[in-house]
Amino acid sequence: MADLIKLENVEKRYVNGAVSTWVLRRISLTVEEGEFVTIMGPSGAGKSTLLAILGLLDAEFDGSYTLDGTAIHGLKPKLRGELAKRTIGFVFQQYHLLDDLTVAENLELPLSYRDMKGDERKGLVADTLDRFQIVGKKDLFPRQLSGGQQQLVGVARAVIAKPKLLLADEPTGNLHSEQGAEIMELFKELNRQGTTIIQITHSKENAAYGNRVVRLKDGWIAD
Amino acid sequence: MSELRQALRRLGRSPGFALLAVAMLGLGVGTNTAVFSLVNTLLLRGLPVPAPGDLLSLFQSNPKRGVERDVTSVPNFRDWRDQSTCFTHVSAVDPGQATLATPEGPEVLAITGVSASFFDLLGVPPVAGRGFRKGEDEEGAPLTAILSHRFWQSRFGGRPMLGSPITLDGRPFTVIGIAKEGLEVPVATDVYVPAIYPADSQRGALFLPVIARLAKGKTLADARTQLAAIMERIPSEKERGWTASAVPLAEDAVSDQRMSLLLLQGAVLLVLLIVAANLAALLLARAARKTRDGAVRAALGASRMDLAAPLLAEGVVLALGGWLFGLLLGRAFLAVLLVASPAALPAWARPVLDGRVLLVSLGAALGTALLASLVAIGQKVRSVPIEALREGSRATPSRGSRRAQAVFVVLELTLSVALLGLAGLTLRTLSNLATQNLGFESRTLLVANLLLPGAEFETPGARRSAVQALTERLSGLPGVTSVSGTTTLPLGGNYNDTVFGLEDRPDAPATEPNVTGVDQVLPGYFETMGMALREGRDLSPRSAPDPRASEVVVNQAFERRYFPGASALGKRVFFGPRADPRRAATIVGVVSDVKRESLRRSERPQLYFSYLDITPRRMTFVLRTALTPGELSSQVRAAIREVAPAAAITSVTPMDSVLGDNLTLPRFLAGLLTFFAVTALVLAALGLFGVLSTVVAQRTNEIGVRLALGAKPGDVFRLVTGQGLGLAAAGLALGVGLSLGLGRLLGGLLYGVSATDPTNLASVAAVLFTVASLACILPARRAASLDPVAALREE
Amino acid sequence: MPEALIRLDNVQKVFLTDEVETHALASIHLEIAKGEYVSISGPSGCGKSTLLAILGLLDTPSSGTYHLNGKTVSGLTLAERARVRNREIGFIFQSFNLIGDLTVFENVELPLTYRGMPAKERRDRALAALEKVGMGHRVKHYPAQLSGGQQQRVAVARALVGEPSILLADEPTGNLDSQNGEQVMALLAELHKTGATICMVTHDSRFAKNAERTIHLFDGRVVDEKVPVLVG
Repeated sequence: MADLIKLENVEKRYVNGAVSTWVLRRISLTVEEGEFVTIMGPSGAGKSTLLAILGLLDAEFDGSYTLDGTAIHGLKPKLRGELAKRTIGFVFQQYHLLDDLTVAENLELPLSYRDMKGDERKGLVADTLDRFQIVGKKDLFPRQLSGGQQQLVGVARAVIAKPKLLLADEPTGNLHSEQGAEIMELFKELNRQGTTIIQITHSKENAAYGNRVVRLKDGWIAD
Repeated sequence: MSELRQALRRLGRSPGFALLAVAMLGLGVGTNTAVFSLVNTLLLRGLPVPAPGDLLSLFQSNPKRGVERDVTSVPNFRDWRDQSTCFTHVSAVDPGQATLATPEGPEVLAITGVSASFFDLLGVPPVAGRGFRKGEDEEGAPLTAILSHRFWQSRFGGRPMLGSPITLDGRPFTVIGIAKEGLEVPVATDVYVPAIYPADSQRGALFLPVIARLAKGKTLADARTQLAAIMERIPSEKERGWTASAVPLAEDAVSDQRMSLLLLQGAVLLVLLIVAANLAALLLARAARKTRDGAVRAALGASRMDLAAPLLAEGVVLALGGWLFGLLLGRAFLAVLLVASPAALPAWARPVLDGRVLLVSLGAALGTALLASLVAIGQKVRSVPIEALREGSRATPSRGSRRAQAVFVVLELTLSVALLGLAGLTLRTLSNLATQNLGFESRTLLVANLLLPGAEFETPGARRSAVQALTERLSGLPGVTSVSGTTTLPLGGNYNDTVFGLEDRPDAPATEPNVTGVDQVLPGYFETMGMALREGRDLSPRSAPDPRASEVVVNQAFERRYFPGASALGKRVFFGPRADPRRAATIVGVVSDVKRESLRRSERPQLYFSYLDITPRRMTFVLRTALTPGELSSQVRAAIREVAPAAAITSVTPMDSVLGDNLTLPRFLAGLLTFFAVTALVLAALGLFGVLSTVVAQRTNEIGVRLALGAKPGDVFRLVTGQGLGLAAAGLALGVGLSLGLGRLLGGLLYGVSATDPTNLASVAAVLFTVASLACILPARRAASLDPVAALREE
Repeated sequence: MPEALIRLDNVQKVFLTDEVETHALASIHLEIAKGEYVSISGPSGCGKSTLLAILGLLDTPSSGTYHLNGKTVSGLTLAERARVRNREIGFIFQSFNLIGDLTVFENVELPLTYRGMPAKERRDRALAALEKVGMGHRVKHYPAQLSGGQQQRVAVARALVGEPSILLADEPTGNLDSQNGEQVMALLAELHKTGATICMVTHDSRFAKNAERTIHLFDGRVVDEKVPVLVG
C-alpha cells in the first residue's frame, strides 16, 4: 500500500519573546493508505498539535511532511487549502458545527467551498443524511440536537466530500459509551471502505478499533 | 441568494445588535437624506423649470464706482431685450406690493410685474388659462393678471377664476391664468401682472431686475460679451462707467443659503462617518466573538472570499434595513424642518425624495455599512486562529480588535467635538445677533405697516391727513405710551437710498456720488423708538410743509463720515442743482445709529426727513406700549380700519417678531448644527460605552486577579473610568484641532465670536467630559461589582 | 499549642442556582498552624476550589466561622475583605494570572499600590521579592516574554511581596511541564523552610507529597488527613 503520509523530523515550537517552548520533537512517522492509526499520550504531549499539522491546519513547523505525494512544507497557503479540501476530513472534539446553520446546511458547507453545482451538492447531502440516518433532522439547528447527534453530524460533515484521510480529535470525548461505540463502528466501516483514519483518543477501547497505536510523550514519539 | 437569507437569519438571532445597527444607520442615512434633498432641490435641481441652468439674471455694474452689481433701468432693459441675439426671451421681473380690494378692506399682496414673455421664458405654461400675450405689457393694453397656484388656493379656495375680475390698487384686472404649483420665481408671488412702464422712463432710475434664457448653443460668456457690447453703444451709460453682465439665476436664487447648506451637508456627512465608525466597532466585536466560526469554515476549505461573504451579506442586509428606516426618518425630519423654518427656503423650493435622493441615500447606506463591514472582514480574514478550534478554548476578541475599537471611538469623539465646536459657534452667533444693541428699544414696540393706495390717497395732502388722524387715534388706545411712524422700519426689509451733496463741499465726482440712506419720519419718532438725540434737536412738529425751512436730522455715522471731528449741525445738504433752495435742507440734529439693513452690518449714514416734506404712500406706525405688543394688535387693526378704511394693512406685528424674521437663517443653521452635534455626541457616547463594555468583558480575568490581590471595588471603578476618560481626552484634543480648522471655514457666517473663541472650546470640553463620564458609569460599575471567583475562572 | 493561624469552624457553602441548592462544602473543620505546609486534594467537583476561595476571602461561607490570624473574617464586608486579602493572603494561580499589559516589576508591586504605599517603599519591596524568586534580572520584561515557569515564579514574587500570613496556591504546576513544575515546587519548599505558611490545592499526588499534611476532600467534606511518608 502506498504511503499516504510521511513525516520526517517534524518539529514545532512556540516562541514567546525570548523563550521557545518545544511542542513536537523530531517526529518521524509513516502512515500507509488504508491504515487506522491511534495517537495516544498524556495531556500536553503534543497530540492535537500533531493532528493539526497532519490536517494542514497548521503550517508552521520544521521538518518535512509529504501528503499523498505532495510536499506540504513550503507549499503556498492557497495550494495547501486546495489539497486539504481534496484530501482531508476533520472531526473535532467540540463538533464545531455552525450554530446558525441547519444540519443540512452544515453538511453542505464544505461542498459549497468546492466547485460543485447546486444540484450535485444537494444530492450528496441527501445521500449522506440517508447514510447516517438523520434525514428527519435535516432542518434542525445544532442546539436542538444532543451531543451524540451533533458529533454524528460532525463526522458526516467530515466524510461528505469523500476524503482520503479522516482525522479525528477525541471524537467520542464528550459522548456516552454507547454513542461512542456507534461512532467507532462507523469509523471501522469507513476504514473498511478505504478511508485512512488517524484518531486521537484517551480510551483504550477506542484504540482497539485501529490497527496501530502511536504514543506521544512530551513531544516525542515514545516506544 | 442563500447567503443573504443566512445573513438575515444570523441577524435575527441577535435582534439587539441588528436593531441597534439599523437604528444607527437609519439616523445617519435619514439626516443625510433630509439635508441632501435640500441640497438637491436648491443647488442641484434648481428652479422647477426646464433647463434651469439656462436661466440668467442680468444686471449692470460700475467697476469705477465700486458697484459690483445693481438692478437696471427700463430703457436699459429694453435695449438689452431688443439688441441681444443670444437669448430666447428677456423679461423684467419686478417684485412689489399692491392692494387687493376685498369686502374686509384692502389686502396687501405680493405682486410681480413681468414681461409678456415671462411664462414662455420659464417654459412652464400656466396650468389653467394662458400666459400673457405679446402687447399685454405695453401702455394702454387691457389689464390682465395670472394668479400663483398657492394664492389661488388660499385666497379663492381653488374655485374657477378665469375671466373673473380682481381690483388691484384700485384698478380692474382680469384673471387670465393660474400658474403651475410651486412656480413662484424668483420670489414669493401672489399675482403676476404685466410690467408696464412709460415710454419716457429714465436711464438713471435703477430699480428693475431682469432675467433671460440663453438660446441653444449660446453660453454665459456669449451673454456677458453681448451685454457689455450693448452698454458700450449707449453713450450716457458708457460715459458714467456703467456696463452689464449676467450670472446664472440658480446661483442667485440661493446665494444666501448656499454656504449654510454646504456646511450642513458637511456636518451630516460627519455624522455618517461616526455612524460608520460605530458600526465598524460593533461589527468587529461581533466578528471577534465568532472567531470560532471563521476558523471552522477555514478548516472546511473556505477561501478568503468565502470567509468574507457572510460578513458582506450581513452588511448588505443591514444597509437595506438602514436605508428604509433612514428614508422614513428623512421624510419626517424634512417635514419638521419645513414647518419650523418655512422662511429659510425660497418659495419655489419643494424638497422631495426624488430618484436622485433615493439613490444617493441608498448609496450612503450601502457605503457606510460596507465600509464598516470591510473593517470586520479585514480583521477576520487576516488571522485564522486554529487555537480557536482547540479543546476548551473560549473565543476571545484579540488585542488587535480591541485597539481598533478604541481607535474608532477616539475618531468618533473627535468628530463629535468638532461638530460641537461648530454648533457652539453658530449658537453664539445667533445669540450675539439676537441680543446685540440695535440702537433702539425693540421689546415693547408694536409696528403696523400700511399702504395708502389708490385714488383716495392720490395727493400728499390726503396722505398727510390720514396719517395725522391715524396717529391721534392710535395714541388714544389704552396701553399705548407713544406713537410715531417711519417709512423705513429698521430691519423691516424696505430701504431707500438717495444721492446728495454737501453745501460747503465741492461736488462729488459724478462717478462717485455721495449716497446715504433716507427715511421719512413722524414727529417724536426718535423718542418713541428709544433712540438718543446726541446733538441739536428733533425735527419741528409742524402741521404743514415749509419748503423754505426744510430740516433734516442725520445719524452719527453720517456725521463721522462727512464731518469727521466736527459737528454736522447747521450744515446744509441738497438734492439736485445747488441753486435750488427747494431741494436743500439744514441739519438740525444728530441721532444715534441703528441697525437698519441687517443685523450684521455696521451702521451707515442716514438722513431723516419729516414725513410732511416727503410723503410716500407707505407708512409704518411704531407704538410704544406697556402691554405686551401682541395684546394690542387687534385693537390697532380695528382703529386703522375705523379711521382709514381705504388704507391697506400689510401687517401688525411686535417688533421682536420682525427681528425674528431677520434671524431665520442663523436660527435654522444653529438649530440644525446643534441637532447634528448632539446626535454625533450620543453616537460617540454609545461607542465609548461599547468599547468599555468590551474591555471589561475581555479583562474580566484581569479584574478578578486585581480583586484577589486586594483591589477594592472603587479601585476597579477608577481603572475603567480612567480608561474611558483617557479616550475622551484624546478625542477632545484631536477634536479641538479639527474644530479650529473647520471654524476658519465658517468665516462670514460668524458674528461677534471668533473661530478660536476659548469660552466655546471650554464649553465643548465640559459637555464632552460630562457625557463621557456618563458613558463610563455603567461599565465601570459592572466591573467593580464582578465576583472575583467567577472572574478568575474566565479565560 | 499556639492558636492556629487559620481556623475554619463548621463552615458550609451552599450555592443557589435555578432553585437548586448545591452543597459545595459541608461541616468543614480545618486548622492550619503558622509555618505549616498543607495540601488539599480530592477529585474534581469535591469542593477544593470553593474551599480555596473561602480561605482566600474571595467568597464567604454560608454558615460557620473563619478565623485568620486572630481575627474573625467570615462576616466582613466586601471592602474589609479586600483589605484583609491584600494584607494577609498571597495567591498563586494555576494559569499564573499575570497582567499582560504590565511589566514584571509592575505586576509584583501591584498589591502594594492597593495599600497606598509610597513609591520608594514599593520599589524596594518588589525588587526584594523578585530577587527571592530569582527573577530580579527580568524586571522590565512583559509576561509574554517569559516562559511558563518564569511567569509562575514572578507570580510567587507577587504573592510574597506584601508579606502575607499565608500563601494560597491553586494547582501551581498545572500549566507547567515537569521540569518547570519541579522548579516551582522547589521554590515553594524553600519558602516554607524560611517560615512561610503554605496551603496548596493540587490533584497531582507527586506534589502533594511535598506538603507536611494532606487534607482530602470528597463531596464537600473532609474525609482523611494523611501524613505522608517522609520522603528520604
